[in-house]
Amino acid sequence: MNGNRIAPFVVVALLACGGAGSTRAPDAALGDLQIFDLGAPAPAAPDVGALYFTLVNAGAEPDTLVAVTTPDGTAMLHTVVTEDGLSRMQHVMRIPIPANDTVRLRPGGYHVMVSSLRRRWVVGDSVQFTLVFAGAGPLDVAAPVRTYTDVVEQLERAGP
Amino acid sequence: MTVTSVVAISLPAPLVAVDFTLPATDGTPFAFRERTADNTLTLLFFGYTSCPDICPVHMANLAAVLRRLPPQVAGGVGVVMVTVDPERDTPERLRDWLDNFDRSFVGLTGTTDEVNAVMQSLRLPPAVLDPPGEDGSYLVGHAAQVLVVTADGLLRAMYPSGTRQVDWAHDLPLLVRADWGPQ
Repeated sequence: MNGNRIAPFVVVALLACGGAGSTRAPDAALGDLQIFDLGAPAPAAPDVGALYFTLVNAGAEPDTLVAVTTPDGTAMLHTVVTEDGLSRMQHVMRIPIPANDTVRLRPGGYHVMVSSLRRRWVVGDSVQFTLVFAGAGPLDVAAPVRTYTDVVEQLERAGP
Repeated sequence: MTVTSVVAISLPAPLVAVDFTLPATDGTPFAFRERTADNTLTLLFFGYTSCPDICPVHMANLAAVLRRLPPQVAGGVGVVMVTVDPERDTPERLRDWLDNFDRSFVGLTGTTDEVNAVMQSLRLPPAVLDPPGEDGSYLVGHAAQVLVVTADGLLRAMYPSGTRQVDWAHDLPLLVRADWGPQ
């Protein structure tokens, strides 16, 4: 069957795009900071969205993500904390980006929550965000709206 | 249990029987034990629709993996979500939300007390509503595991938030085929 013969190539292709910051072109960059895997899931709820991405700091100086804004709603930096069997999202004021390191905003960890959405994002849209770094300054990015499944799969492929 | 999983949280004996009735999104009472008896497995989750991260990711992962698994595996697996935020999650809102993932996923509501009583019966802590932010929206702290219930109504394992699609794709066929034995 054709499908069986194609399968090994699919696996190779998935591995080849694994390492963030290696050979892939970043979605956006500012100085030593590179942004990969930008994705805003098409929300299942009418008023709440999220933004995920991989942040690579290729420089020798640490930086800090201190804010994210979007004209589409109220964006906040969040992390997920689990204590005594309860998982909750917690607002954080900053996300540290160590020198020569990778920080992943992904499900179950750091992410950007967007509440009070002013429009419903649909697959194919592009959403404007400004990422504000303490050192490097502001960086405008456009995040593609994709299904939750596609966003999660891309982040799973991006690395552990 | 014969399933070797890197992510599942196995549960100590005696196993808990999952037996409760809550209103479904169509307004009719849903008696969990009877209505899921024909499933080989039922995946039970407590969450809320204003949750941007854990809840939609669990549902998206399950929907994506079940679509890809062979029908003889996926056909025996049901998914039931109970809202921990019944104040905001009207039956219509919950139904719309679940339909984004899979129209076969069952949505259950109830009063806060009813939902908390069900969670307590499963040895899960009750949900906690955080104070509202400037825009009036609020977050809810809740048990974020997906519970695995077998056809005999027993809670057999839990999968934490952070369980990936590859984990589900690996474990679900094993869970469906497992010889669970007597309690």
